[in-house]
Amino acid sequence: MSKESEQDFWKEDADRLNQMAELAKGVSVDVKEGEPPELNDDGSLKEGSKSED
Amino acid sequence: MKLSQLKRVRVALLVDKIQTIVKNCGIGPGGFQPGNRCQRGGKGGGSVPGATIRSEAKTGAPPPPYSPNVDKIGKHGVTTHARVGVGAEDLPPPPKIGRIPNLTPHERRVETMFVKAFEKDPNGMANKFLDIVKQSTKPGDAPTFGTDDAKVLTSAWSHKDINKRAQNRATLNTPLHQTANAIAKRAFVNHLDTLKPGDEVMVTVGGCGAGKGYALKNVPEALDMKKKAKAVWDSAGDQNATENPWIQKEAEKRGLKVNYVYVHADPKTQWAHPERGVVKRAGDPNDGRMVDAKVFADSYALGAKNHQAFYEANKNNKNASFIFLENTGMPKKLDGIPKDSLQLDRKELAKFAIARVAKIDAPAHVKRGALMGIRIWEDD
Repeated sequence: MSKESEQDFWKEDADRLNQMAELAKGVSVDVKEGEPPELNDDGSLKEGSKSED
Repeated sequence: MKLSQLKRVRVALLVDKIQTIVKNCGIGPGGFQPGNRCQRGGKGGGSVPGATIRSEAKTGAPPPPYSPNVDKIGKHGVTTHARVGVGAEDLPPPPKIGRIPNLTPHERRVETMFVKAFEKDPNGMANKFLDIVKQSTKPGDAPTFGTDDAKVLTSAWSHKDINKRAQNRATLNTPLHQTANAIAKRAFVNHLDTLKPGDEVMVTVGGCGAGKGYALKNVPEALDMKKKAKAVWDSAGDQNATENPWIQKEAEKRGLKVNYVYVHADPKTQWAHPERGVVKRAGDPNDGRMVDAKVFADSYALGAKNHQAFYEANKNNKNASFIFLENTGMPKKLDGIPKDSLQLDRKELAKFAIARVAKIDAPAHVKRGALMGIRIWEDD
C-alpha cells in the first residue's frame, strides 16, 4: 500500500468521527467551550485572550 | 539538600529561563519586536520550547486531583495508571473522575462541565455513547469503542465552523480525556453484557498515532480477527496499554475470549513525519485531533513494556490470543514487539517530540495541543 493509502485512511477516519459528532448533536454536553482562545504562533495564549477567564 | 532548598533552586532556575526568553524575544512595552527570533512559530527561537505555555495561568485541580505515578507497576506486571484517563482497573463511579492538574481557567471550565454531566448520570451518558457507536457501525461490523470517540458527547467536538472545531479538538483533547475514558469503558462493558459465552472481542493496542486502524485493514490475520469479533476495544494509545488486565477480567467474567492486536511503529516517524505523522494529521481541519507530547511518548515507551508484560502473563491463556503487526510503511505481521521498542525512554522521547514540534511548521493550535503537557505535568 502506498503512503497515499494511509492518508486516505485518515480521511475516512475523520469522516467517521464527524459522522459520530453529528449523531451526538442532540445529546451532547454543552461544555461552554466558547470561542477557541487566541494564540501566538508558538501555540501559547495571546495576552488578554478573550476566552480565558 | 533539603526539599525546601531544592524547590527554591528550581524556582530560581525557572525564573532565570523566563528572563532569558524575555531578553531573547525582545519583549518590551511595544510587545514583540519585528524580525525577532521568537516571533514566528518558534522557528529558530533560542527560547526553551513551550516556555511561554508553561508559564500560563493555571488552576489547581479540584478534588480528587489526578497525578499518578505512571511508572508504578501493579500486580499484573503492567503499570496501573496513565497520566490521563481513569485508573486501569477503575470503572467510575466510583471512584470520582480524577482532575488533571494545572489547566488554564478555560480548560478547567470545559473539564468540569463534562465531569459534572457524567457524574450526574454515568449510565445515561454511557448508553448515549453506546447508541452513537451502534448507529455509526456498518452492517456486519462489530461496534467499536474508543475513548477519543466519546469526546463527541461534547459541544466542543462539533462546532459548526470546522476550523474552530479543529482548534477545539487539538486544544481541549487533554481536558476532556478523563471523562471520555470513563464513558467509553462503561459503554463497552454495557455492550459486553449483551454478548453470550464463547463470543469474541478484539482489542487494538499501540502507541498514539501508530496506525492501528490502518494496519488492521491491511493485514489478513487482523481482518479475520475483526470479522469474528462481537465488540472491539480500540485502546487509546494514551492509556499505555494499562487496560488489558481489566479487559481480560471483564471478558472472562462473561465467558468471552479476547484477541489482542498490537501495532508497532517508530514513534519519531509517527510524530513528526511530514506526510505520515500525528502533527501533520492534526493540521487537517476535517480532523484536528492532537495529542500532547508527553502522553505520546508514554504511549510508546510504557505501552510497549506493558503489553509485553501482559503478553508474557497470558500467552498460554486459552481465553486470549495475540498477534503483532508493524506499521512502518507497508503493514505486516511480526513475531512480537521489537526489542528496541522495549527500551524506549519516555522522557527522552518526550524531549524529542517537544523539540520537534516547537520547530516545525504547524498551526498554532496543533502546537498548543502538543505542548500543553509542559504546563500540565511540569515536573514529569
